[in-house]
Amino acid sequence: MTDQVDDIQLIEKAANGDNEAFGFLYERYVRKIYNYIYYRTGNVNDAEDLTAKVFHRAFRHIETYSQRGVPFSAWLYRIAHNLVANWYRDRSRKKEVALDDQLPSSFHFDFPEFALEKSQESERMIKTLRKLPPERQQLIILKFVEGMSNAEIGLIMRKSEGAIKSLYHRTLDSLRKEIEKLEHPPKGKGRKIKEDKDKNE
Amino acid sequence: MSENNSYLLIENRLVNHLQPVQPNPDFIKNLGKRLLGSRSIYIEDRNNGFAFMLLSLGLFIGALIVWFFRKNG
Repeated sequence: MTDQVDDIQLIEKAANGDNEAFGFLYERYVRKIYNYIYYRTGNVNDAEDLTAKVFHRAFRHIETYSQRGVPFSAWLYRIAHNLVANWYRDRSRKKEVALDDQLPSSFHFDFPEFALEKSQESERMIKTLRKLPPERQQLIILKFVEGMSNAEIGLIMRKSEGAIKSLYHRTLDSLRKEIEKLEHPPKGKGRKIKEDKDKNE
Repeated sequence: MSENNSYLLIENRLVNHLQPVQPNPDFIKNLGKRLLGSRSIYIEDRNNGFAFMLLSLGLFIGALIVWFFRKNG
């Protein structure tokens, strides 16, 4: 609540040309927006590029924010969501493949074997997540990476708390099915691979 | 395994694997500098009144020259 009050004061100042006020807002939200975009795009370069675009856009249009009746963070996430959607559209046109699907730095551990196992599992999890429709990816990232409540997510996604709860359960269900497919592939497929291997030997 | 248990397992995995990442501090610093410096770049608005006056003056002088040559020609 204090943050919200602070935000309103800072936004008013920023809208009147106070750069320092916008600087405080930037410091408060840049890491959250970066995280959201990072998990949606899966690579550092695009996450940096799109984060920069989000804040340039917010900076240019800060005067228009106050009329929208949503928290400032929700406004930023919506900008980020739209830019990520455009990025996916452009990317599908160009048929590009992200080269640096890096894992977050927090996945590095002191024990190499554990680290490898954990990072492979993380990679699987993130790949599975990216197979979901954008709306569901957004929900999972906001909930688990940003630690938001259903009500906060609802404000960003323009849905009621109940609708978010229901979407969340459907999302968990799809994730469960995807993970099962990945970890326990159909037996026929496994046998075929084994037969092919035997043939080659 | 009950459905609730399987949801719990997935939630645990999500908690373990979707952790916040730390962006490059140089990127954060440089973007902040670029952003806050950008408003000091002033883009001059086009002065439409001045342009209109200049155009009118040009047309008037043009018309005056045409009239002058016709009168003497």
